Parts: sequence; C-alpha cells; structure tokens
Amino acid sequence: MAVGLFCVFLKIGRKLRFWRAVSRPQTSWMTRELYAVAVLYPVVLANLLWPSAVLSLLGGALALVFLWCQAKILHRARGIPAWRVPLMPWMLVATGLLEGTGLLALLLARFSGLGQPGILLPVAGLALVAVNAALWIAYRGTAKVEGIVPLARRVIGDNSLTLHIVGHALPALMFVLTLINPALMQVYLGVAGVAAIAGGAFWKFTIIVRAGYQQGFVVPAVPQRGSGTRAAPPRVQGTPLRGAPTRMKAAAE
Amino acid sequence: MSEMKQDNAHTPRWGMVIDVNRCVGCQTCTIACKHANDTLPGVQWRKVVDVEMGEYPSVERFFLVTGCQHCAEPPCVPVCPTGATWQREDGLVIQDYDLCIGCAYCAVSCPYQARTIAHDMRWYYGEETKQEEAVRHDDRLGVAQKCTFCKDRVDEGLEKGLKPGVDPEATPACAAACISSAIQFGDFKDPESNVSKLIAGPHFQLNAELGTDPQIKYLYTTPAVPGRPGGSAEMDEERLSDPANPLVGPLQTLWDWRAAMNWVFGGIASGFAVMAYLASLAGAVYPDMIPRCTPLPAASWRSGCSACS
Repeated sequence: MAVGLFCVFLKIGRKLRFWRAVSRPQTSWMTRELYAVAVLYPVVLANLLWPSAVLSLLGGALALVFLWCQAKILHRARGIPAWRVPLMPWMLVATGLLEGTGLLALLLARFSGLGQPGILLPVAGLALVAVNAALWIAYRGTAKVEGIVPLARRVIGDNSLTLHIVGHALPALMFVLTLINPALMQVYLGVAGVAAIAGGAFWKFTIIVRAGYQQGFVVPAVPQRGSGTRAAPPRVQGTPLRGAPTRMKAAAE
Repeated sequence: MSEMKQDNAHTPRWGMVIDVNRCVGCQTCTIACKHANDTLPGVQWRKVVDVEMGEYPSVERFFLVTGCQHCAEPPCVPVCPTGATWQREDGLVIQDYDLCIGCAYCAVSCPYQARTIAHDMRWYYGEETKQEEAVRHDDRLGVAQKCTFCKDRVDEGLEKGLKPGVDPEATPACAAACISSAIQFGDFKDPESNVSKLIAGPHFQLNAELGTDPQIKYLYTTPAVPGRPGGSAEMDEERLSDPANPLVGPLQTLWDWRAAMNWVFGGIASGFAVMAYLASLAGAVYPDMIPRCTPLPAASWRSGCSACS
C-alpha cells in the first residue's frame, strides 16, 4: 500500500500539499482511502506488538475498506467510460482478493512453517479465479451497452486472451494441481501465486493506462445544412429570418 | 459561500447558450479566452471542435464550442480530495489553485475534457516575453485548471451595477467577443434573460445522458430550417474508432503507470491482509509463526528485538 501511495505521491503536481488530500472525507473516496490507511497502519503495528483477535479482525476489516475505497475511486472517475461502469468496483475487489490469495499462496509455498494451505486455500483461489473470470467476461460483454468507447473496447478485447491465460487459466490449473497432487504443492502454489498477481496487475495497468480513453462528445442533434442529402430542406414558408439584416428581410419579402 | 454581491431574493444561475448554426468557427472566442485568462500554450479553456460528418457528396460541417460546462451536478466536485473544486451558489464551478494538489482526479472525472494540468511553464515564442512575464500565473502550475466563466469579470461587473450577458464588460470574454453572437451568457433563473428566452425552443446538452445537467445549452435549429437527430445515428463504429475524429475522446495521460501502481500494490496488500485474516481463522496460517516485534525493556533497545535481529 505504501509503495502504491508513494507512486501516487510522485504523480501529483504539488507534492508539498499532499496532506491536503485528507480534507474531503464527506464525498471523496481518495480522502477515505487515506483515512483507511491512516487507521490500518497503526492497527497492523499494534497487532504485531500485541497480537489479539480483535486487532486482527480490525486489520482485516480496514484492509477491506481500503480495497473498497480504491474500487470506488476508479468507479467515480466519470470522465473515463472504461472505468465508470457498475462492474468496476466489484472487479477491483475480486481481483484484490485473488491477488491477496496469490501472495498468501506464494508465501506459504516459500515458507512452509507459516501455515498449512490444506484444501481451503486452493479451493478459495479457484473460487476467486472463477469470479474474476466471470466478471471480466461480463465487463467485456457489456462494454458496448455500458458506453465504453470503441477504442477502449479494442484494447480490452486485444488483452483479454492474455488475461484469461495468465490471470485465470494458469492459476486455476495450479490450484487444481495442488488439490490433485499435494506432494508438489509448493511448486503449484508458487506458480499460482505469481500468475494471480501478474494477471491482476496486468488488467489494472491495461484498463488504467491503455484503455483510459476519455468521454467523447455525443451530439444528440445537429443542424441541417451541408450538401447532398445533408443539404438544408426548402425554407419553411412564412418563417422570418432571425436576426438578419434589414436588407435581407426585404429581399425575402 | 458566494464571492459575489447578489440580491438575496434572487441567486442567479449563470449559463451559456451556444447557437451551432451561428458559429462560423473563427476561433475568436478561444483567442479572447486566452487574452482574458493568460493561458499557456497548449492550454485551452475554450475550445472549438471542428466537426465534419457524412461522406462525399453528402457532407456537413459545423463547429462545437466546448469547455467547462459548469454542470448543475458536476462530477468533478465530490471527487476532489482537498475541496479545491467547489460550486458557488450561482452555479459556477470554481477551482482554487492554492488548495489543489494536482492529483488530476477532477480531470478524469470530467466527461467534457474541460480540465488540464500544466506542469511546466511554456512560452509562445520560445522564451518568455515581457507580456507573458507581466501576466504569468505561477499558481496555476501543477494544479488543475479550467474555464471559470470569467468569474472575475462577472463579479466585478455586478459590483459596478452591470448586467452579465448584456454588458460586455461583465460578460465572459468568449461571449463578449463572439463575432456572430453565437455565444450568449446569462441567468437561466431569470425568465426574461436572453439565455432563458433562447432555450424556449429546441436545444440540447452535451452528454446529457450522464446526468450532469451541463449549463451550456446548444441551439441547432433556425426558425426556417429544423435540425435533425444526431448522436449514434450520425456516427458508425468506424467513425467512433477514429482518433482523428474530434468528437472521439483521446487517451487520458494524467493518470499514468504511477497511478496504476496504486491499484496494483494497494490491491495486492489489502487483499493479502483480508485473505491472511480469513486463512488464520480457518487455521491455514499459523499466526504464532509470524515474526513479531516484541516490546523490549528500555535497556535492550540498542540490541533490538529478537525477531528483527
């Protein structure tokens, strides 16, 4: 989180004023994200010093709040059609949980003493992969109806196969293999973790950086003038010329 | 809340009416805006989009004057984390350069491409001229900027007893300068104002389906020649996929890879925290095996805790 927020800090135009971003919790999800972090870090630190079930629960809940804030930040950016669709917050939450599962799988594969994945982790991973894949398919399928512009839809379409292979199929396969052959669990979980994280990072980068086309201008009505079939029709009889010079009015009469 | 003096009984609702039939695309409004607001090269608060439609020989061309629409429901206001973007009682959406941190959230929230951020000073002739030096706005660097409906002209005009939309001195520079009176400014709440009378007939708002209720309203008919429906009927998928089409939105560049990293790392970390907690509840993770920093007596501080060392 800190690394991500630091990257945002590098992006803002007036870095010395960054603290002002805490000013609008009433309406801004960006401010709320900062508040979530500001509470989460002390809770995590306190839980490291004085472990307790309450602090663990609080930490988990605050992390979920942070994840939701991130999801809403992108969703509220209404100038970008690819971001503002109703599915976006759910996609970001589901992906965050899958990436988190991936990191957990990676750590458990590397440090076996930290825990025993059993069947719970691979099953949870499989479920999250399924949810993520379904959300992506729905996102792509409803893109046109939701008003995502063609240029963004092209980017989404061009990158779907890569996402499905790296972010969905590969981790799903590895989680299944973990269930089938627990003897090689460490290898499978490690690959599943890396793939889940890579897939999530890939689509977020794609949507934010490459599919972030701005809303164009929808002109619901146009003047009738031009040439050919677009030429103005014969003048409606009896209509006065609006604001025309006197001599033109006289000529028309 | 409002900066301007106004009659308590009547708070105006400033807005514009732009007659697409009258606009000839002369760009006088864009130059007047630059002159009045001293915007940098490449920064245009007032834009005129040159639209060409159809295929030869059935073609049509018109000009669409755009900029900040001072929406009644501005998407840029609630997202601002600092309160730098806010709305006055008279409807003008204001940008406070001293509060803005330049996060660009307002810019990606605007469906009218009205906001921009200039990070560096630029000059029209390679180096700073005396005129540019006299009117430079360092406070606008690194922060969001956009059309203000020339609020200073409006407010100062009102203080002098002038009527915005009628008296050029109290009217936004673009409207005052328009050679064909295509841009009209006025109070939508006053039924006798020029803008209220003009929108009595057919008119439209840009991207109205987004629910922003923009306060620039466009006329597209003349008494003699009615307009015709535009929208998607006018543009097929191929036209909408053409980056050279001025009606197609460009790729935003304000939120780049650095912004994306926030979602990548933030998602991984927060997702991990949630899943690790759930895994510990299920017994898949042994919390006791996680290295911890245990509080030490003061005498042991120099040697550090056992987990860290």
